[in-house]
Amino acid sequence: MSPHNSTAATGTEPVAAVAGVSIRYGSTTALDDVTLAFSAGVTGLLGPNGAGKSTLLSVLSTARRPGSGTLTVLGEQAPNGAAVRRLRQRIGVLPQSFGFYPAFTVLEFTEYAAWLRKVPSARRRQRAREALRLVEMEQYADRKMGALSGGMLRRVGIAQAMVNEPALVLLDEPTVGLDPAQRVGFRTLIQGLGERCAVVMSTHLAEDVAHVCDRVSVLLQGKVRFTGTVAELCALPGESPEVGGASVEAGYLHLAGSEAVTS
Amino acid sequence: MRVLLTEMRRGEAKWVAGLMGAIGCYYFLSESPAQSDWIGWWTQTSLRVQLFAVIVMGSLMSSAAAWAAGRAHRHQVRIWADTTARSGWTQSLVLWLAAWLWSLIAYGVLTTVAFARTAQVSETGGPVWTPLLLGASMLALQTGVGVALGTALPSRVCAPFAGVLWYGLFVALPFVPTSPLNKLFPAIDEHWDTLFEPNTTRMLVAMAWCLALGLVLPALPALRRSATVRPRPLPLVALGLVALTAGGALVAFRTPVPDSYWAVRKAQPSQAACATSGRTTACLWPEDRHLLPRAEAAVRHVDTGLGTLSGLNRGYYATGLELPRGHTAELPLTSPDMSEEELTDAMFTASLPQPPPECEPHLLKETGGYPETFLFEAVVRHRLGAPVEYYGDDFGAALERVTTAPRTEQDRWIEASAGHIRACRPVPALPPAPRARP
Repeated sequence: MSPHNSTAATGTEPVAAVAGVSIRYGSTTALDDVTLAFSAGVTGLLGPNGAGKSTLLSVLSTARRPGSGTLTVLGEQAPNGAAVRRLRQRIGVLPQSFGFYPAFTVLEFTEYAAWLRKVPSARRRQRAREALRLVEMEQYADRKMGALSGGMLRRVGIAQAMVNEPALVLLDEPTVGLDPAQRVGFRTLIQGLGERCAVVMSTHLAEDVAHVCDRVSVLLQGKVRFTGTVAELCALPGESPEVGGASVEAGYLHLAGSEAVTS
Repeated sequence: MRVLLTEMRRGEAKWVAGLMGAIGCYYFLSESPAQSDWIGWWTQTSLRVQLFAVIVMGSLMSSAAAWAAGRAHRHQVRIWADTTARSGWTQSLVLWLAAWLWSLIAYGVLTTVAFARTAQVSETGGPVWTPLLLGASMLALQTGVGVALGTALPSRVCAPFAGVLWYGLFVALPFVPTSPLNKLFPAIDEHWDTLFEPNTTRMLVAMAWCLALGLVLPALPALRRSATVRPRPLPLVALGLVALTAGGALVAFRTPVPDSYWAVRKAQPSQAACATSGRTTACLWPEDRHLLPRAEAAVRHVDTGLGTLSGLNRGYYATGLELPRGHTAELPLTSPDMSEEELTDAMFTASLPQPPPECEPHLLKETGGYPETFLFEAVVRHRLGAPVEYYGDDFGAALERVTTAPRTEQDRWIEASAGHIRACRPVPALPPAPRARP
């Protein structure tokens, strides 16, 4: 199946881009000649587990060097050394399994994240409070991290990713494990983030994409199968009998074919 | 700074440091000055605090640091922390610093307690800082090893292993005294007489070694992690060079064998603290001035006991003080808080003439085959009213032959024997048995 690429590109300068990026783990190909550009707003990376979404996010976060191809982030091409150090001060990351120190309070933990992201010490506390306010967790600032619910933890996870006022935020499966009510609230939150900076969100939930993303890229087995707006994905021909009607799921299943349905 | 305080407040090191502080306080407070070989000697107190801090507290703090360093892995914080702008080395250094500062707080408490005890006994002198600073640097190194191990091998098993590793090292090292590891990982388990003082140069070099290595080691696991920002090479190489140079110098330093690697002999004091009574004098190091009143009483007692006897030593000089010519002897002090009785006994012992070092002992048939010096000592002690060792009936009978003899005959035998012993000649014949006397 040939990849679908929107002709109506972003219209703005890309915040991050990969060109011809491939990554292999032993005999497994995680990313296969991936070329993508990410601009302001929320971009979804949709794909099943093992499609290479997290690997791509780790490349964008500069945590992993691509085996081949080039990475351009926030104007830096193929960054390394001092450039990585500089870049990371402008990137926020929320990993899929967000780890935290249970003994720290919410404020202490967010300040710790601010320190890790090299927010100047004079502004650290203020930025931590602002980030907590952004995710509506300020009233829990003195609560221990270990005493928070799953949804609250995710919010603190977003706060730590936003504490350095990043230009690019990478969210890896941010809604996994949340109950439906929490998920709805979280989508609103992520939409809000998209108004402040470029957000790249990986997910395997089509409804997250439908509600949150301005643009979407579909990854399947390490390859980009689609890049465009959510409306364009919905408009792909061939409705899925399992889902019915024009929807993100239908578009996705059209790309994935029967393999995705069975998986 | 706030991050450091948070780590200190929330990390595990505070519990271990608190425990060590409590155990250390008990250890330093429970010892009786009369039984102690350090309460009252400032240098020895420093050594004792350093020893406890390095062997006991350092080993456990190393474990605590390893545990804290493994926390980022156990709680899956490392996954995202490694994607931040802060290098893995800097992240580890915060843990290192937090654990080390807690160790220093506990160390400070122990030092205060130990020196308070010494100050109760001796007003002369003050804390000797170089061994204490060396101990603080060793704590830095031990904490650094803990952080490096805990970061590289973040399993829960690794943390206790770090402590066991250090403790095992300190237990094993005395069995291989020539090993350079003794110089590189100093835990000074030595008793320095008052004549020694710390070798400041070596201790400063060792401090540089410990601190530099303690800072470098936490960087090593970060070099292996590809996701994290690499440590800046300049400080890393500079610290590595300092550690290498200082460590090399420590291994290269040599010392005259009987002396401690970490000590130098003190210069003779311009004025020793001396007590004189009659023909008898005892001199102490100025640092032992607190013992002078007891020494004065002991000297009076000894002088009265020895009276006008000649041939015995009448000048006693604390170990390390230069002995003047004549009948003088070394006066070893076993404790900084020796009682008058103990000092008197030490002076009695010092008053006895000693045969030359190469002299073979002369065994006396009348004593049942014991060396004649044993009998001589028993006679002098009996004369002074001091307790005498019992070596059997024959020995007792020989002792009685001398001690029941008329005073002038006793004196003659003692004075002549003293000369013979010094000259490595057999003592004169014993006075006749009481029943054989006219």
